[in-house]
Amino acid sequence: MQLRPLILAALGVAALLVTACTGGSTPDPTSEGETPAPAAADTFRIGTDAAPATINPLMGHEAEGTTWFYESLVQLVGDELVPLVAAEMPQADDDATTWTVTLRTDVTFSDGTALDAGDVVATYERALDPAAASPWASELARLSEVAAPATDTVVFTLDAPDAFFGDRLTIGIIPSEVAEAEQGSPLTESSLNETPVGSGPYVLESWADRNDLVLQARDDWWGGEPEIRQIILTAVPDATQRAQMVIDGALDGTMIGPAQAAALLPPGERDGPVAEDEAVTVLVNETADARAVSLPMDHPFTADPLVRRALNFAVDREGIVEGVLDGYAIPVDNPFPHSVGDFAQPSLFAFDPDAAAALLDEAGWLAGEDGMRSKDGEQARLTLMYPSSDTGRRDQAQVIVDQFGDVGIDATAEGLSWDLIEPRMSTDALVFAGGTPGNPDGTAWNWMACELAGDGFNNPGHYCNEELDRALVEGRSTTDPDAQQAAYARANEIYADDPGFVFLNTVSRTYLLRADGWEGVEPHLEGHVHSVSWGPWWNIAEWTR
Amino acid sequence: MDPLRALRRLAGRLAAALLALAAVGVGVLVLADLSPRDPLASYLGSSYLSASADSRTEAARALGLDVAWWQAGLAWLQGLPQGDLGVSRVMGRPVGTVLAESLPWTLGLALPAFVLALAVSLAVVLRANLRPGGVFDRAVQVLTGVLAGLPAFLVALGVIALFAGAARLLGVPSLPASGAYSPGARASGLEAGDVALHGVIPLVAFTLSLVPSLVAHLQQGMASAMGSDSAQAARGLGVRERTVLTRVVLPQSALPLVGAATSVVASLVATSAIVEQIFGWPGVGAATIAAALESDLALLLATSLGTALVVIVAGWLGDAVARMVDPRVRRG
Repeated sequence: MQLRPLILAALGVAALLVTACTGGSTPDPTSEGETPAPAAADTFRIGTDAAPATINPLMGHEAEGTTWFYESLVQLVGDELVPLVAAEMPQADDDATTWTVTLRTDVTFSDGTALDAGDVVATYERALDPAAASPWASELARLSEVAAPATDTVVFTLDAPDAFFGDRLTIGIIPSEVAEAEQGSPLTESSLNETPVGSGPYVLESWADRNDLVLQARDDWWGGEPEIRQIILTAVPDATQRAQMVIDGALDGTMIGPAQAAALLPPGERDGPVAEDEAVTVLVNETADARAVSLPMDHPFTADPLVRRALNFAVDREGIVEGVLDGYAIPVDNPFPHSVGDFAQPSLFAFDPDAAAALLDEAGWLAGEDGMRSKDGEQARLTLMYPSSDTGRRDQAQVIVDQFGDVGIDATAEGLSWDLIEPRMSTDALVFAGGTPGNPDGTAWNWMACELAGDGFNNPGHYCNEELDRALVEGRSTTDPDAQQAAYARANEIYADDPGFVFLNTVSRTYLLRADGWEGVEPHLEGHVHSVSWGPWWNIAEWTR
Repeated sequence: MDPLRALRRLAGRLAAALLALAAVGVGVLVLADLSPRDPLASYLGSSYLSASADSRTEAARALGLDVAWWQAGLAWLQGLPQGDLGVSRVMGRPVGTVLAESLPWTLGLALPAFVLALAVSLAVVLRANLRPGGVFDRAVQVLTGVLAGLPAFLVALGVIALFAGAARLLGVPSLPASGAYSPGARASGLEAGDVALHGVIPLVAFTLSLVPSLVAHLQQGMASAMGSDSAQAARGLGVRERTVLTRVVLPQSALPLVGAATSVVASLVATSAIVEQIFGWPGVGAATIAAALESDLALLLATSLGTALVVIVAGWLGDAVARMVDPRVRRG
């Protein structure tokens, strides 16, 4: 047992008691050590709500591309993939079933060994190993084989075409020695959970108490010597505390809530310096993290496409963004919004209660004397489920309930845990979330493909439109950009007549930063997952001063 | 005492303790089994929502989440003789390591809070008994009543607000209210001053949460000493009430004090978890809460059985001390 903290804490407390008893007063708060010690000039301190769940890349650490300990073949920066350990962008064959990646040859792990094709193969095989229970396994469902024909070449062979497989090449590469030694055991027992060995710019110096994660810059990183030599991640559960610590100078950056950001800024501002201190700024990153109401197909009301279109017209998306999210979201109304980059398709549903009413009339759901609609004696009812732990989704659900009520629908919101939500998804609506930057296939396919209806949380509403399925398969089965564009344009039109969701918005993430002269901070489009290393400091190894 | 009788008594106590531990272990396993939270949800993270039903089943099997609760319990027990407490899924490290890291923090906060709370309570009760029904006594009754009714987290938030308010009035920065040390201090070397400053607010909140039930216990226990023959006799001789309290009542209060101390050990553990959680104090309590939320059986079994053991041993110690200080108990 480590006695040092115990002794120190006991000594400290004893000292306090002595001062309290002899001095008869509370300890003098102006004594030294009370003002937060300023960080060393080349240290950056980040406050998080909790310690990272894991630092093992195969367990989902930095699932959307690596920044600190590890490096992946490619990195997803905004809606664009860029090569990292790969020497150039991965090359797909014409039907996108074989992917060839050429590697850089100057990359070394922090233990000094070189990173080569064998390490890449071992990493992906470990991710597919059933005994490992890697969260990546389901993401790599289409991958059938990984091979290394040369020490700097890796070939991925897929079961089915996937023009967006490049998005899956974001796993941090681990040394083959570790992967092979731990073959057959679950990742929960991996040595990498405590001692990362990667090729990234930083190594772990200490992670005592699982509270304070301290990273030290490498001198032998192929990308050069990072000017920020030390990164400290500290878990501070309370968001108000975290914000205060940045303002007090005890932290350099942290993620805060949208309402907090709005409260710190001068009225009318969405980002920029906070009112209290010019040197502290609010930064906003947009995301591909969409919120959408999944509509249940085994429900007498929402089974009708006319009704689903009506619901899409009944929602005031701008109103939700301003009213509930303090302006920190971008309204979206289709499965191919701004966040899929080049493949974004035209908006489909403007707020139009009259159009909603007309469609509901056409579908036979007529308003009674009290304004509430019914058909053949059955009330137009809908329950909106949301995960009870997510207050953002709760707030949105409550506004939508009101807006549905305005067109005569008896809607209610209900907060539940995932296990209670799952069996009800084909008969009740659900405020769902997800999205991958730059990828028009991921969300659309996982949320609406006929074959995925009710498979886990995929396709929650049990939606099925075979025409849409075909358009999506066509889109990912070609690498020709024009053919891809045509496929997603058609998919968007099919969705317009037969929407399975009410898309609402992509939420923004808000950060507080004391840049202190550091340059190179770049906002970028984030994914659904928020991993701490993907804040404004995702490229911290390249900051200069 | 008859050695045979003592031995039988010891055996009985051990049997009762084992029974209690078994009950706690089974209780934890059954409750975790009934918990609606799927441990896979947090393990798989965002992949939980995109994972197919098949890959969920596969992951559950690989992690050993698909076995019955009693099988999981037996598997954990099998490691015990070798000192293997298993691996914590939530913390991503062996349970032994988690405990070695967090236990010192918990003891470092809970023990001073315990001693401080005892001292404060005793002082308060003595002072209140100086003039029963007086202003101080009634103020104590009202205050402890209110405090006892408040949940520990509200007390904690109140203490944070108090310190922040006081700091603003004095025009100085408030004391830290999160963590046990400044960011990064753990790696660069802990300093007692830094840790102590971080400990002030949690310690005050912790102590305040313990005081009400201690005061109630002591009040009850001292009532008899207050009215005891010796106290009455002293008063009759014209001894000042202050002297009666310190010379006559206080020595007779040793027993109630031990009783009160033993009685708060169980609530000490619960309060410790709440205080650690609120103040981001890296102790066992916070780890236990994380383990409970995600049905991390290895860590949860270790901490709950450990806690039960502490409470049982505290009871034994309490009895032993009581017997040492008061001969009447020995006879009975």
